[in-house]
Amino acid sequence: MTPPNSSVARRVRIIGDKPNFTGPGPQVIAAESLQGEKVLNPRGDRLGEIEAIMIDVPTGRIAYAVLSHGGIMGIGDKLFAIPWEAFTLDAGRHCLVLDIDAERLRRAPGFDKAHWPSMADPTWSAEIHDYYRGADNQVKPQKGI
Amino acid sequence: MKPIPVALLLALLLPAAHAQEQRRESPAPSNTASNPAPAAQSAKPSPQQASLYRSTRIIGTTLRDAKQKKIGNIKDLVLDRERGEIAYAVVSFGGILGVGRKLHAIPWQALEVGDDGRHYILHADRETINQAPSFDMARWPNMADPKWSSDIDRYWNRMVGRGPLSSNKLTSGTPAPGIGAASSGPGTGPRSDMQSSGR
Repeated sequence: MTPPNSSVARRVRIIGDKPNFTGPGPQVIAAESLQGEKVLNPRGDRLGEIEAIMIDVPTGRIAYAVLSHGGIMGIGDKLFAIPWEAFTLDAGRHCLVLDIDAERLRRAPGFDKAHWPSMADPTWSAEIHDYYRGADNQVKPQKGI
Repeated sequence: MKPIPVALLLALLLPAAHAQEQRRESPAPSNTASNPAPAAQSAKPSPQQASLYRSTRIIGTTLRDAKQKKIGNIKDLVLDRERGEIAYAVVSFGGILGVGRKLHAIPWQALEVGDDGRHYILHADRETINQAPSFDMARWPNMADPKWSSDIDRYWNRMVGRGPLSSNKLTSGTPAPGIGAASSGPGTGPRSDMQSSGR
């Protein structure tokens, strides 16, 4: 595999995107490059880093990005599973953007690393989607829930 | 590594530890099994519960052919942000076919989950793989280029033909009825991929 290249800053690897990234068109990202990537809100506040991307294997659907917030060196931080639809991609800054106030995120339903929720639980899923729908109107609850 | 065209690829920093991760052959499944934390879950997750996985548990998974022979492994996943789907699995067939520096992008829908959930199956013979579109791992193509993706899709649609591999990426599949158990607790396997990501 590719050896690390310390001469290149670690950023989200956007493999392709339209020049006008807010318009329609594919935005293609390498999943591996998202690990540990920072997430900002539109004001530029740093909300945390990507801890995990949750994928529904049979369909290939990206269900959630798990955001890690707070803590030091991965200790004591809180995790938030956030519907993938809530994120946008800032092609200029090469980071993910989540339109939510930092304080609102702090109050969001979260969990710690030792206690991941059952994401199969419809109640949990509905709560999560409701919460972030308030943050971004584009977030829709998943079908079947 | 040689200098990389920045416009083409912004961070080719797949962590070194990632290579180790890829040696593991059982990334995808069993995250529930290895995580006793959620009390609500029984030891045997339902199929629905088992369907949601961390991308890091898919990356590194072995790819086998229809005869269960190991033919490669998944190096990365290409996400279509807007559709919210995996567009392609980036696969290395290196070591077996002598194309170590080559990677192949394969439409996600062309892959089938193995019976044990611990590998993926690609119904393709060596000839098919040899002739498939590929790219140098140091020079990722612009995967948003419709020409590029339609070539890939057409090829694999013809050669594998598992259902409709729609032009560029996948049919926007209906989400599975149940969202899988994403429980991956603290001790669920190596997380070297993340530790090495600069944090």
